[in-house]
Amino acid sequence: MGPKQEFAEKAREGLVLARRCSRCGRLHLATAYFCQGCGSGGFEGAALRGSGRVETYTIITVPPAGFEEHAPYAWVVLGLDGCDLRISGFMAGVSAPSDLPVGSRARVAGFDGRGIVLERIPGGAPGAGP
Amino acid sequence: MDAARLLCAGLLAFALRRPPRSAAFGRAAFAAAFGRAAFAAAFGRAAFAAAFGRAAFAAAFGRAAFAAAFGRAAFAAAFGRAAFAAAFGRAAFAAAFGRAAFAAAFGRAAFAAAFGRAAFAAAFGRAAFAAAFGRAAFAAAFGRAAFAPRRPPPPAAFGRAGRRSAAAAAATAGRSRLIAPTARAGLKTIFIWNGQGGRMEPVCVLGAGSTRYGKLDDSIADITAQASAEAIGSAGIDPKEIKAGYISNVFGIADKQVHLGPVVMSALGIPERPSLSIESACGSGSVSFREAFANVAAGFYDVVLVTGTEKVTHTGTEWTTTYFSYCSDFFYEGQAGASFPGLFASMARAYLGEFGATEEDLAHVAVKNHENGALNPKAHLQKRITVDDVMGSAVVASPLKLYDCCPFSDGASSVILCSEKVARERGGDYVRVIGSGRGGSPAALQGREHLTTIPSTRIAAGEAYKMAGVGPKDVDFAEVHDCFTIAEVVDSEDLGFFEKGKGAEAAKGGRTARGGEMPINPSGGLKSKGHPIGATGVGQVAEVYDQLTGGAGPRAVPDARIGLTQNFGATGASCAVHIFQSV
Ligand SMILES: [Zn+2]
Repeated sequence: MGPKQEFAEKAREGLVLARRCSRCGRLHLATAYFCQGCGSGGFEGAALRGSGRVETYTIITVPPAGFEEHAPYAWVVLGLDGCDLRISGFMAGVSAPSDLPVGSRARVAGFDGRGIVLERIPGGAPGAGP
Repeated sequence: MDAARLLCAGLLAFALRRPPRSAAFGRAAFAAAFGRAAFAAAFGRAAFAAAFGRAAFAAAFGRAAFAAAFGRAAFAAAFGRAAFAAAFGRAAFAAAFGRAAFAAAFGRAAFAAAFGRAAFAAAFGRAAFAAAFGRAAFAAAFGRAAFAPRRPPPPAAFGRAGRRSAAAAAATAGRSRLIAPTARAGLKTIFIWNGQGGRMEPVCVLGAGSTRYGKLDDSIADITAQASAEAIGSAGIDPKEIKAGYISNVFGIADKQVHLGPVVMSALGIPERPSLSIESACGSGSVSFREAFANVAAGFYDVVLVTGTEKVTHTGTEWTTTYFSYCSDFFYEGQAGASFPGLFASMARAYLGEFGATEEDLAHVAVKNHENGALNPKAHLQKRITVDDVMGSAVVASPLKLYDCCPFSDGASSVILCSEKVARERGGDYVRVIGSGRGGSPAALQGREHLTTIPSTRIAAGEAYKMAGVGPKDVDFAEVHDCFTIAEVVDSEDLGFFEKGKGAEAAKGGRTARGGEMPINPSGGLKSKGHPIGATGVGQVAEVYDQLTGGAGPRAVPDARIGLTQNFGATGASCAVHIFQSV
């Protein structure tokens, strides 16, 4: 199973599959083959909790093929809790900026034909702690 | 060594001096018995070197003795040029290896200190001189004669001066004259520096051509050949003079034609010439241009064709949107429903939040580019628009609206690149490529340290400025990658024209208009001129060629001497920046 497949498997469990460089400790998403910091190819696996804060997003009203039935929807960049990694993905149920203020809490909810699927954490208002 | 042994060694040595045949074996035995020092004492240092090699010689007697024995050339070969300079001084270094090597080794500042500023100007050109020592020194060195503009000033109706503050106009006028080169006949450049300490052939753009951008009926093969033919005509060359072709394209598959290189070369009557078909998303044209530039600079070819092309509009908006999403880091972006407007909209939301800019500020970029594009007969959208038009247009991917986005276009653009030797022989118009840079960024937005800057642009611009010996303030106008209004704002900051976070304000204040202090996208940009993605980077060069050779008509940037192009792929995952100077 390739790293992207493994990554997708973990995402279905709400986790983000990451790898920590065994030489310098830098954290990467599991789809990396070499460390961006030191060039080492040695990693230790690390499954991160897929929750974090919305850093930016867009609400797509003119979708690519296959997403017609979902529009409008959001594509969201999430800063993961407790590390400097981000993850991005599809989020349903967002039709106006007021539905998703920047800073809202959200998490990885799955992986399917829409790629990485994210969802808002209920009651996770901007500024609320993890 | 005791007396008896010394005596023994002396006698043996004396004996070995005679019969040469047994000398090698005998002397080896001697060295083994009494050591190398005794060997040298007995047979001399030349014999020592012959027996044990020069490395051993240097180890035994020191590098000074080495140089005395074998000469300085051998010294440099053995210990390197740095050691040479340390041992004999930089003057000796220059005498031995030439001034070019001197500059490569010690830098241009040391070069100027050692040989004087006149030599500096002769070696690196006046632009580099001005960049290094300032305008006052330039004026003192070259006088007013160097300031004479090559072309008559453009009509007052299009003049920038009338629409700007006197101070800004004076500053720019000084700047553009400052870089103005000598008369063509007086050009002395033998080589240029590549910014990495290497030497290259100077490269020139000899001609340019483009189809109209928009919705075209002809096939991709036809429009590619049409633009190429126009460039060949513009350059005044015979197609047979073209030694190689660089053809950039992304979605030829949508018009049932990939491997466009040989198809175009065949149409031009030169099927035997090699070609390279290049894809680098929306940055394909500039990346292709860079490869062509590098090959001419390296002396592989003296005349090459660079043509970019795209034909997608017949597939419709949904499928074009879908195809373009394949240019993203698809696993994280396209697969999750991110369209290109969506990716840039995400950058826009981050930018507006971080710097307090507004959607109206961004709208000014679109209005300005349409103002320019309305004067460009080859532009896709030749119409003026207002801020209200932008704000009232349909949302595509919030916060970006339809008029924040460039159109999907068909079109092809082409330029002829050649060595300066060829350009001078032709006697026609040409512009010199003085800087070329490339860079990369994490493919996915999520992997970038900041969401409001494009690293590849910064890296490419840094390289290009360094090679050209100029800075952002020396640039008279720029054609930048404004696939969306937010992109032009970010570009204008990443290229060093404005401080981080000030680009939107600059656009709103008219500073990037044709009459502003830093005109951006006088062609209309991707926004109004159009964005046939494989052609765009080449089209930017065609615009710079027109601007710097007096062919831009009513959209001319007056007194322009230095133009810059910046074109990136996807969300700036790849980028190339080029700098051009009129001759
Ligand atoms: Zn590492």
